[in-house]
Amino acid sequence: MPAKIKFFFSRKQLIEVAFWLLITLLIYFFLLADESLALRRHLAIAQSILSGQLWGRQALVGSLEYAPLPSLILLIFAGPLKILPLSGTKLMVALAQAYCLSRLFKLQGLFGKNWQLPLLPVLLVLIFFGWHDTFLFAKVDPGWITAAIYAGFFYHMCLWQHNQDLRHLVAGALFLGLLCLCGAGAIMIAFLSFFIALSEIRKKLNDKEKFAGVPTVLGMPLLYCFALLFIWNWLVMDDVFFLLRDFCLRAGSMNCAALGESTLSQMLFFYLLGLLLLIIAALFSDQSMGLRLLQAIFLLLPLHFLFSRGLQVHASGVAALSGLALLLLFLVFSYSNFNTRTGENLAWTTMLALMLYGFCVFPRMPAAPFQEEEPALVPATALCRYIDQFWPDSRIMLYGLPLASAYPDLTEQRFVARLDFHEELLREQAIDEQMHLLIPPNDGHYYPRKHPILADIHNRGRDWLLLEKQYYGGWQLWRCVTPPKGESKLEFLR
Amino acid sequence: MHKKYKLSGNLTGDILNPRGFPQATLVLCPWQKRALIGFIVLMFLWALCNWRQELLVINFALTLFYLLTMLHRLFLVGLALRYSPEMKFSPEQLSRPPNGKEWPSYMVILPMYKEGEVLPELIDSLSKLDYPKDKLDIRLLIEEDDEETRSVADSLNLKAPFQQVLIPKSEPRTKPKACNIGIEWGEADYLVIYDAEDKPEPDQLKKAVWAFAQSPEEVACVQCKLSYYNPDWNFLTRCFTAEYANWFGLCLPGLDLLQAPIPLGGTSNHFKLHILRQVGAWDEYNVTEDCDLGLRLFVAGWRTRIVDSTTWEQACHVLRNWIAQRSRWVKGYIQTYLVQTRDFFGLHKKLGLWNSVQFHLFIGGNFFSQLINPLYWILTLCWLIFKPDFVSQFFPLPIFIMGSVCLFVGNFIFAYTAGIACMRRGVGRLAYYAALMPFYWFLMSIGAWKGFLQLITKPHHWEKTTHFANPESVFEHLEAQE
Repeated sequence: MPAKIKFFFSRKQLIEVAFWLLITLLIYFFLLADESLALRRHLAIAQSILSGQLWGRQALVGSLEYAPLPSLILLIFAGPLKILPLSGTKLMVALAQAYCLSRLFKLQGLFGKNWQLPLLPVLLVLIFFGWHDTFLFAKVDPGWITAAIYAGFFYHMCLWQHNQDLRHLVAGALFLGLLCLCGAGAIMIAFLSFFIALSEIRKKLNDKEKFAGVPTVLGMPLLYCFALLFIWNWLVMDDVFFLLRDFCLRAGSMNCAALGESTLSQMLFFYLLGLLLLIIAALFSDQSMGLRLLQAIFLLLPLHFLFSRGLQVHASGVAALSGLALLLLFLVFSYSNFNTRTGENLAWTTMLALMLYGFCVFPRMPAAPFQEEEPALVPATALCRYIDQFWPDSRIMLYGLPLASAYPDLTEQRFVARLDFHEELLREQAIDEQMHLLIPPNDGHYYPRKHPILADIHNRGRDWLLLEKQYYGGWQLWRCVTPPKGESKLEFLR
Repeated sequence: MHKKYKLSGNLTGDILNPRGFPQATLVLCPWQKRALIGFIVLMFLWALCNWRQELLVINFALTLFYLLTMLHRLFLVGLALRYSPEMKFSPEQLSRPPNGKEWPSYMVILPMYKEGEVLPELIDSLSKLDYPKDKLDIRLLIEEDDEETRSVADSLNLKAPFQQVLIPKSEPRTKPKACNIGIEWGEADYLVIYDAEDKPEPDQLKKAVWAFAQSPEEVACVQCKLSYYNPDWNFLTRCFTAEYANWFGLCLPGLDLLQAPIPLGGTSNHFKLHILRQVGAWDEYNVTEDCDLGLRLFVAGWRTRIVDSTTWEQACHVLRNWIAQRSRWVKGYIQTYLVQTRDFFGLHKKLGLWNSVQFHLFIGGNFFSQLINPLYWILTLCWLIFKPDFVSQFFPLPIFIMGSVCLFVGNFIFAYTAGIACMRRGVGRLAYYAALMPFYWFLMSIGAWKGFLQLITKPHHWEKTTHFANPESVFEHLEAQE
């Protein structure tokens, strides 16, 4: 008989679990208390969904910037796991980081059988303390969810290369699918990684019959999750391509000046150096799967980062994914066996250049490149106080995800948020109740500079809107002047 | 000591237990009838009092059932992928008997009815069995009034180890009845049953002998894997192959690992003959006698193992025949479920908590989900197209979350595992049909409803699966395989 599956941990497994729990706790206490802007926005989405608000559901599916997966996971940590006496967001990030770390150690175990030097701890200490500011290692950032998923994918693909076990291919495929739910950058990485993995598998199997089915098994979760994004948009937003609309509008008004920043070009050079190293190493070493998969990251992350800056959108997961990719690069590179001396020398020279460049440039950067800050807002209390003087029952309408998350109102008593702007619907609502509309400055942060409605209202207003107050920085508070039914004193004149 | 049951006839006078153990002579036993009527009355009264609440509770129960079935299936597939429990043997092992002396005697039974067309192919493939001929006893179980098969068998001039066994015309006219009569006499250590269109791998008997030898005493049955030699004939055969690959390649090995009750597949079940006779062999009133026997063996304390040897069958490629076959399977699964739960508390006591859960999810869940799927498809379509408000009131947040998980994750998992199974079974070229499985599920539900309705009108009617002789394609395929 096959040994009956034991549902209880063996002593060794128990020790391993206890060890990783300890590491998770250590990370938890090491993490800084402040949450990144992206995390605050994801948390606002999760809390809004838990309160049953429509904008939360819209924000969960309708944005490529703030992808669904971190919000979905936060739903668990901000919902059922709230009973734990720990911060849900910190715990989530600590678990994700601990998972990344565990995959790194497992990979070291896989690669490093003939290698005596415990390289990984040295690398971890060096990079962690040297570059933790740059890659938000100590920040509570949802990008770590993306990083953990990529770590899972990378680990299973390396294991597949090692033993060609179908379950690793399946696990890798599932992680690849989940990457699709982690934002625009992760989607690009997932698709490119899919093609790279496919070509590596074909090379390794070298048998048409055995290879048949691999594209389906590897690609089905990816395509399904990608399709889910659009299906959800159809179901929730009534517009299949809603999540792309914001990007398309922003593409027409790209901020090219932002691309010339010195920090950005320094980062770009670092990535290119990394890519060069990966290309050289992949040409001359035996770790082709790992090294070629990382090429996708080193090629696409800087592009994603660059374009996100230009489009003035959040580059989801870039910081954490970059940090993880660097660690993976050093790890895979360290355990590569080179087939020519020249190749090895070339690769090591590039590696040294990369390290030197990183250690020289990162600490001197004026600002952490991946750090995002919320622009100055009009305080919610100031808005409410002003309105309460004349219209105590009025509510303020907010459009767009960043604005809605900046003014969280779980009861929707003062602020009502939506992702989609339908002028007619707002006018209809304004007939039933007094409404105000808050329009942020037209600087591309809260909505595309060429947004056909919001930017237009900001610039020219509407005949049914009255500009009640303009705040510093270009914030505008409009009042809907469509009179409630039967209350217009001018009704009889019409 | 185990009680020994007679294999045919000799009714005890008890209509529910004609041979001393529960059989599918009646669809429902008295208490089940009373419970069903009570349930219907209760539902009716509840609907009169508060139909919204009733629908909400039913919806909650069904969604929870879907969720649990999905998790169970995911668990089984995960286990099968991780541990690969099938017993495997090397050619070197198979070159000698496990006891080092001689191979044990083997009885091979082949129930057939109007299968004259495929009989020559069957004889040919059985002649290729790599097993000492003097240890074999191959019995063609032919119905007395089946002139067609008898004349073909006569014309083949069969010699030992082949022999014809005529099954006297009597009710019920089912395959298990023929099998029971076919094994009433004669001795052998082991027995295997094949269908008329089967092409077992030549070394299958040796593998089974080794499997028995390497397993503990309580293993009474060895199930070999089934697959189709005609997967590429049309859409139906491709999806059918994917389904079989999933069932035999992932689900059953998963159950094997959990040492849970395994519903046997219709053919290629290898038994210890004396134990098979001891438990009363097949229930002649049950139209999925294999599933019933697997459970009965388990309840009696015997175990089943899965061996890595394949029998190639012919997949139904004609929709009408396929639906007929499916309706019989679903009808039989419902029969089995009802027969096994007659002694409700006794069954659960014997199975234990975990195996009881698996019995309900795997045997009960199998047919139940096929029956209620159309209801949820219609609801989902209504919701997508018309977006009526009344649907949302039956999906409060907890049910909505569970339902969403089933809709978006569950359906994908069921389809995706078919793709994985295809790759694992070496038919990776069919893996992309996993994406089309929802259309196949729709056909399955049609078959399921036909079976369910037939259970009420014709509970013992055996929907005979028609097989087609197509030697050219068969041999071309087998040659390509080699």
